[in-house]
Amino acid sequence: MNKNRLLVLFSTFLISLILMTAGCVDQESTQNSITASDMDAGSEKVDVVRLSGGDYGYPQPFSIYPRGPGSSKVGMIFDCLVERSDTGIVPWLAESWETSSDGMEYTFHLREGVSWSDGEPLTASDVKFTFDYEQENIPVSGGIEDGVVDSVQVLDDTTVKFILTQPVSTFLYEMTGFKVIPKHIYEAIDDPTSFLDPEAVTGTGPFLLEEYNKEHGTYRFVTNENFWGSETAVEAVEFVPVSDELISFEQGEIDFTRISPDTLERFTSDPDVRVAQQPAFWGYQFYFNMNKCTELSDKKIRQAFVYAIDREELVEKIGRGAGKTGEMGILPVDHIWYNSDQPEYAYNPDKAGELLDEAGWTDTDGDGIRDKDGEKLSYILSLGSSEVRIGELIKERLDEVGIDVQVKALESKSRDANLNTGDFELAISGFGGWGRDADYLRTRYCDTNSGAGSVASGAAIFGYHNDTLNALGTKELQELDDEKRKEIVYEMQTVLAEDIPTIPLYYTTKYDAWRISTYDGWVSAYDHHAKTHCIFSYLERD
Amino acid sequence: MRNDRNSFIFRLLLTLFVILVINFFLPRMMPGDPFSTTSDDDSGDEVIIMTEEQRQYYMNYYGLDKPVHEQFLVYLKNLLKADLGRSIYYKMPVSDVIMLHLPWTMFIVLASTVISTIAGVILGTFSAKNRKKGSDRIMMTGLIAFAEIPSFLLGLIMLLIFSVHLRLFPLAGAITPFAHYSGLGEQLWDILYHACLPVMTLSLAQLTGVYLLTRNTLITVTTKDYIRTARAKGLGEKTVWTRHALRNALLPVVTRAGFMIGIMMGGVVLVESVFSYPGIGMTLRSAVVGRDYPLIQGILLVIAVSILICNLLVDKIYSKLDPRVTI
Repeated sequence: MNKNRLLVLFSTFLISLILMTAGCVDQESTQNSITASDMDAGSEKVDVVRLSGGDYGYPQPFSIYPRGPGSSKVGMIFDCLVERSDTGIVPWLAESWETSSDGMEYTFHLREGVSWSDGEPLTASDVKFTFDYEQENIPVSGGIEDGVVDSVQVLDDTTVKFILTQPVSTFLYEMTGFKVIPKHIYEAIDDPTSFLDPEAVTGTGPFLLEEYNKEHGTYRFVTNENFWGSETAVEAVEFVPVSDELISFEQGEIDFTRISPDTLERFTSDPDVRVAQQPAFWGYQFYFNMNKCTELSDKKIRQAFVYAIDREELVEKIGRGAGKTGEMGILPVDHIWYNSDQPEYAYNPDKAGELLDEAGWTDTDGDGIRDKDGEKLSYILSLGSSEVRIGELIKERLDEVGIDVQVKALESKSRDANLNTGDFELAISGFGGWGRDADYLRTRYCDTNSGAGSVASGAAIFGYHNDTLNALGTKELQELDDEKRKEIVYEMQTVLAEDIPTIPLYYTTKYDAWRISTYDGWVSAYDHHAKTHCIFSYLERD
Repeated sequence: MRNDRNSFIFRLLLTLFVILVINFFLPRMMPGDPFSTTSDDDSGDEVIIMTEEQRQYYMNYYGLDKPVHEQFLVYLKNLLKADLGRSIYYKMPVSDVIMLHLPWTMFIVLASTVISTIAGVILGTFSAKNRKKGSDRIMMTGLIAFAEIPSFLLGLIMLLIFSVHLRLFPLAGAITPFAHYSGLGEQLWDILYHACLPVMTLSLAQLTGVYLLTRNTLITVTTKDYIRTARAKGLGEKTVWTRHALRNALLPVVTRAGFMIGIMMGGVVLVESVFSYPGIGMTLRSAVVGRDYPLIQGILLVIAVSILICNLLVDKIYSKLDPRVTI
């Protein structure tokens, strides 16, 4: 019978498919066969901590994916000369360093007795090699920007000197992302992006990659017994795929999760779950395009926008309380160099109206929209589809002071493209990195373009120019004394808060939750909100 | 006859070429490029924002700085050598990425096509036999209402009931992480166990269509003269239904099953992301988000080709079921 034959055909096909998939699973097997040796009998080390996974690429500096938390996985295996802790920049592979008085030379003294996980010793030539190699092969993240370093010299086995092209105050900060790779392995590799052998993840760091499965998005890191630094506090860290972080956490499949304010209550009564608020280092920014809409070059109009937009309301209604209102000096309150003494802009629609009146924009024809010389104060606000509610609230507030806004929601990549090319009038975009070195004030808002700018995040500001700020930015980049530099950064915040080149709307402060009984050692770096990204989270601390 | 075959092959090649052109140019018409992200997806996540030098370096590395028509020619040339190019995001050959993920999708799509077709035919036959009785009415209303639930919502409901509350099935993934199997049997069991919920979700989402089609065609068929003739010949009710009615009613159902595979390839994206299942749908989604042109092209090509193959198969099966039809 035909029907029967059909069924048989289908089922045979199905079974062969199952076998095929089974075959695939078999092939992947383990990538790395190094197994952790026996644990110290006496230590109370946690066996394993499980975190939310997904495929972010093979964890070496050239093959990791440029999205998501990939580079923190590279950091579990590879070390930098200096590292960012919860308090600041601390010695790491380099035990100490000196800066020449003109700020052009940095001499690093490497720790003695550090070896790669294959037993080879780490030397200064590995550091020089990494720099030279990365001139040709740019790593996904953490490379030193073009034109900052002129050359690297090996003085002896444990001393290495970086010679800069100009004094750059952020050099040490940049070095916290410069992951040293083994010369004896990488020198033979022409195309490191496709170098996915087990040797590619030979590092000096606290962990070894025991297993990585691209297909299923799982990683298993185990303690590197030969790690030079303090003991790891967890024997192994596993990343497993989850459908929903919160559910997986409640079911005990993962030990750490990010939670939204709505679900906070479920955990506050559980004595085994610790909940902590993240620092406010992720924010939404409101952009003006002063090239396209020249009237926006008038400071008064930009200030009117700030007075008219109720940032408290955004935190309450959109962020559901989990956020901090935007500071017009740009740096968030949690930033180490935040200046509390800067012009304040509380929500004040009357003041906004006065400023617009002063600038000559009044509603002459009674349609509720201000105008001047026959032109209406009317804008298109471009934003990503996830920012629509922010846009709608802002539209309402601006309508009240006579500024007409049409919200145009785009797919986020399209909005990014418009932000890059300047094809927008007003825009909103959200991004992280607000806790980084304050030099981003210079790279984002100064149009001097004096070379270094690798801590930049967010898009450029179109048509903004401020001489005072440019001068301060240039000074800040060259100032090597941290205290003096901090003062300049404070001043820059005051200038920015007066001038309003952009409006930070609000910074999100999500919550982290973790199970104390499994592991309680979470800590975040001073400049970043993610505790799971900080290498100190996995190490013993005093 | 020979002419027919020639024109058939010509049409096939033309279709393929049109598909190739669309696959190539459509992704490139989307705004943005793989390296110019300035914002993050979700609050809290962070993307690496590239400097202009990095961007230029990568554009050059992947040949994206060449004129588009040149890129297209290179693509066609490589395609003739069965080379689909290198994925920008995954940094490995596109064919490898597809081979890693496609079997999982094929597996759940085919399994759920088979399940929903069989279940739909059985339920449809039952309904047609009991037409206008209470059981038919209840079943029809129930299934139609059910069909209105979007598949990802259905997936979420299934996940909440079976995985979270009853803890019968795993929450995510296609295998137990870091599992080391003692034998093939154990491995197969693990795979089936993880595939259960996604397959059930997809099957349920497709069930109503098959059910309605079977029921309605059966009802139409049973009014035909040859059924009356069969009954008049004194054939048993069972023979009349299976040999005469169902066989004829099956034609559109088989056609539908063939097309369904193509449609499901699209719907599977959402279901896969609910269950975090490592199929091609999830991969396509991240390829589009990351503007990974070679990977988007590759996946769309594979999907298009498999739909073409399905259609050909349906034609073949059709002519087997109904000897009057020739292709």
